[in-house]
Amino acid sequence: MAGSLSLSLGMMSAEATQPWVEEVRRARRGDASAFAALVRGMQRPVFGLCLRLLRNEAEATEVAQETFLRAYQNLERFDEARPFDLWVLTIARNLCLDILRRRQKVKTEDVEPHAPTLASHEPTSEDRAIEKQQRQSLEEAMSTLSSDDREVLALYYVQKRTTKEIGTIMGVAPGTIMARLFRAREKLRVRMMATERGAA
Amino acid sequence: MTTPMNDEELELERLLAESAPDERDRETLREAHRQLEKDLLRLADPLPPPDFLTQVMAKVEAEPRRMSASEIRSAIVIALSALAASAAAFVSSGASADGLAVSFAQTFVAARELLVGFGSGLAAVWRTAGLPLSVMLAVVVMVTLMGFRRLVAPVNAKVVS
Repeated sequence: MAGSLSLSLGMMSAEATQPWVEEVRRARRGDASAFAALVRGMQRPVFGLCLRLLRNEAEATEVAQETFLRAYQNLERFDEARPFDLWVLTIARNLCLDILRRRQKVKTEDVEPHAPTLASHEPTSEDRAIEKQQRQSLEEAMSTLSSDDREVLALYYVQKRTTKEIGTIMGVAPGTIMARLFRAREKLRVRMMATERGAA
Repeated sequence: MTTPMNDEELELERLLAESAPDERDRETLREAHRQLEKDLLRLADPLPPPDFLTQVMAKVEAEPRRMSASEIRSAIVIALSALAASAAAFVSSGASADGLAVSFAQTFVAARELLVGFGSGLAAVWRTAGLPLSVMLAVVVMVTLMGFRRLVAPVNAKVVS
């Protein structure tokens, strides 16, 4: 019953292999094409996380690029025993949080929804337009959540990260992630219900 | 037959019970969350701008990687080794600090003589072949400047896509 809710996601995978190690070593030796390959493999999740946190495409692009630059400059400090993707996502997250903190400080937080810039899997069914509308509503509802809630939902459902990986990225105990997810989902459900009632 | 719940499932049950104490409400809430999860799983990360990789690699080219600790260690070892070898050669040649000062002063005297000799030579060449010398010097200067220009010109970042 409840078990199917989390287990159906199939995200509790074991330790993944580390295919990036060789590319990291080559990039450390100054091989630009190896670093380009690392960027190519990580650009979408990094940009996606930045966009969901910052809700501004230009800023997200800038921060995502800065993330890779920082990663390149600090490649020597990267511990090969740890996953490269989580390391890069942690850099991206920290840069985004810096910007969010600065925004809060000057009270200029952008409250406009960013939904038009967020693409989703292309629907294949006949009711393509309805599905698109549903996803759009979901994205809009998600964009009204706090950055913490958006982050945990994006990492778990959109990027299919495990609770352990999310715990590493966010710097919290993995055991707290399920509770965070539940609360974020609950807030999202309430927002979506309110939107539906408003539309009816 | 039911399988035992793991920690995460137990946590989820506890959270559901907190939100909906009544069993029927809990089942409704569980179903709503299950549906929401399905919808969330359909979302995907947006694609970055098409020139994203090029932009990143241009920034990387503009700001090269910091020197690694091993590179710095190697540089220090090489510098210290060279210094030690020089000191060893100096001591083994039987030179003393007084001798070093005298050699240093003699260098200035020798340099002065060299400068005077070079000036005299140049004046003699100028008197006998002034025009060819000017042309040759002009060519050397031009070639050198063009070489520097090629070296300094910005190079586009190489991106393998």
